[in-house]
Amino acid sequence: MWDTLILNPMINALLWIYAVLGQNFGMAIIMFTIVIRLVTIPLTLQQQRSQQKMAEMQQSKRWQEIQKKYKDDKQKLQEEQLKLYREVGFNPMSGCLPTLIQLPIIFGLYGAITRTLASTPGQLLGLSIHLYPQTPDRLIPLNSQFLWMDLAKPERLYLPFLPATIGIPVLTILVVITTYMQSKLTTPANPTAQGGQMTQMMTLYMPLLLGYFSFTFPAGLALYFVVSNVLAIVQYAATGKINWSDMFKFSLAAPKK
Amino acid sequence: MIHPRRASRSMLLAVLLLAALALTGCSGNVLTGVSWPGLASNGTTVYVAFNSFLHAIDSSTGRELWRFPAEADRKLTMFAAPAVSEDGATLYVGGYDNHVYALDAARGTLVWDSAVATDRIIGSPVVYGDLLLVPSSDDFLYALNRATGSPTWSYETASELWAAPAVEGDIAYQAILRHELLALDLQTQGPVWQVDLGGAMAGPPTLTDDHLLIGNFVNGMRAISKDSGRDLWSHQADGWIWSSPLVSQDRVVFGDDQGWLTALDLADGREIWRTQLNGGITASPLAIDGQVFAVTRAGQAYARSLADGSPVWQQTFEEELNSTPILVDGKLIIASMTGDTLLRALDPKSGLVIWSFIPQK
Repeated sequence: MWDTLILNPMINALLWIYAVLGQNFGMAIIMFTIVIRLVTIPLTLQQQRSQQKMAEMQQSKRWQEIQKKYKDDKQKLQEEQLKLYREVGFNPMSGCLPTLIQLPIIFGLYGAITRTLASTPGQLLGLSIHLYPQTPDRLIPLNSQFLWMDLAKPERLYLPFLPATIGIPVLTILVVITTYMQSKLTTPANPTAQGGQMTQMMTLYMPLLLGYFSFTFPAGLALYFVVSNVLAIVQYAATGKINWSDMFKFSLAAPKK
Repeated sequence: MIHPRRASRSMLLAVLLLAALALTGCSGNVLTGVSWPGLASNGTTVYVAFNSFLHAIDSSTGRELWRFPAEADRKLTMFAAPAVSEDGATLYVGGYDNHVYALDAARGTLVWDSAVATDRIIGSPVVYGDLLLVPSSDDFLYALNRATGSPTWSYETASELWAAPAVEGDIAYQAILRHELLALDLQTQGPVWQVDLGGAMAGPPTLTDDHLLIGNFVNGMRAISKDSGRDLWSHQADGWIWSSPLVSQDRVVFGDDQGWLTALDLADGREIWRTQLNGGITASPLAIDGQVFAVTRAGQAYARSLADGSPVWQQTFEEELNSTPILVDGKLIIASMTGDTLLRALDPKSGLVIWSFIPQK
């Protein structure tokens, strides 16, 4: 089911783009990520609107009063919050749904890239079962060279003035920076203590997690992370809500006693 | 009552764990370098390289004689069939850690370790006089001194080498993964000819008196002149041909990943018979006494008549069978890529299991 509906179409589409773009897999990953981002724009916009609405509501006087009044009665607090949601016509699920719909697409994209980067017999054999009969076999194996990178291997840049054993993980560094930027710039501030702390920690840990993946796994994945992050920032900037100074705000909402 | 900070940390940890699981789960074993076992023998002992170990197995009992390394090393994995020296005293095996290891065949102790390559060694090394020819995924064919492991020369090809070179006299016929076939003069280290066959080649060619035969992922099976690289005949297959064809009694027999086992006339490539097996075929077939043995990814082992492809026997196992079987001491040895049982010795006449080998964890 997963393979038929998500993975196989994505793998074959990626290979088709690769063929059209002169068998340049780096360009194919970039183009494929752009296409997927464009297709999911309505979902992303809905998610952003929902996050924005949620943030506005949490900053309202009424919300703050409820938090203060029922801080020792969790059940009552939840009831009042739901009541407020109904009054202002906000559906808390409206932010989750687009994310849930996008998740299979993101995982499919990730799966398609990793599978097409097959660099051993076992991996290539695994890829073969996902190919449509119409996909030309002459494309196999893919040319994974892109700029100075072999996209099928973890990326390092070796410079002539450095010892031969020291390679700079350029893409890993870019992944960490762009993930951090994307997280800081596109996530609305959460005024609640718990929510704010959560956001802050996610902003710190996600770049490290994706940085670890990029350092360890094939460079094709890291390229996807970078392109995806940059597109997310560009997409958010296009809505006119981006505030570049958010990137340097490090305030952490203190837990209220 | 749980403190909010602790709760948020737990939740964050859960989110990160989920993300990590999802990402690694989606990739499955895609990101780890996997392949299937490689089999070799000196006539009495079976050698199988798979994952962390090279096992030496007594062919009469199925008992493990030794394993290399004695303890698993996270960095070292081996899948290529080892090369055995003419006197059977030394084994040579390439690893996915880019190293080549020479081992004492009797005890499994290390003789030398060469770190000449800069990428995985997927194809088997080949003994050539005092040299060991090592194909590497770093695009080079290396010639190492067999006594010491020191590099003697290297030849850079157009792309990755996954196949062992097929050597005759002083010429090595090397399948290059990205579609080219090279004839290399081993004395001068210069190319004799090189041809583009239009499809990926993961297995070595099979040499006959006049031709070399090789299959690929696009154009099926080809017979090529050893002298010029010129096409003599070709036969389009239904799927990818992963391994060398079998040549026996003027027939060329090969399998493809769509499960077709096909026999052609060696002289002109005319189809003599073909039969659909259950599961894709990645291994080379093996001929014994007028019978052809083939194994499939669906865990089936088949014996067919070489004359007309009619069934002789069929055995079903639960594991994926991708490795080319070998005949050792009158037993048909098959290796599994999945499951606990790594090796089985079958009676070639009946297909019944004589012994099984399950590596100790």
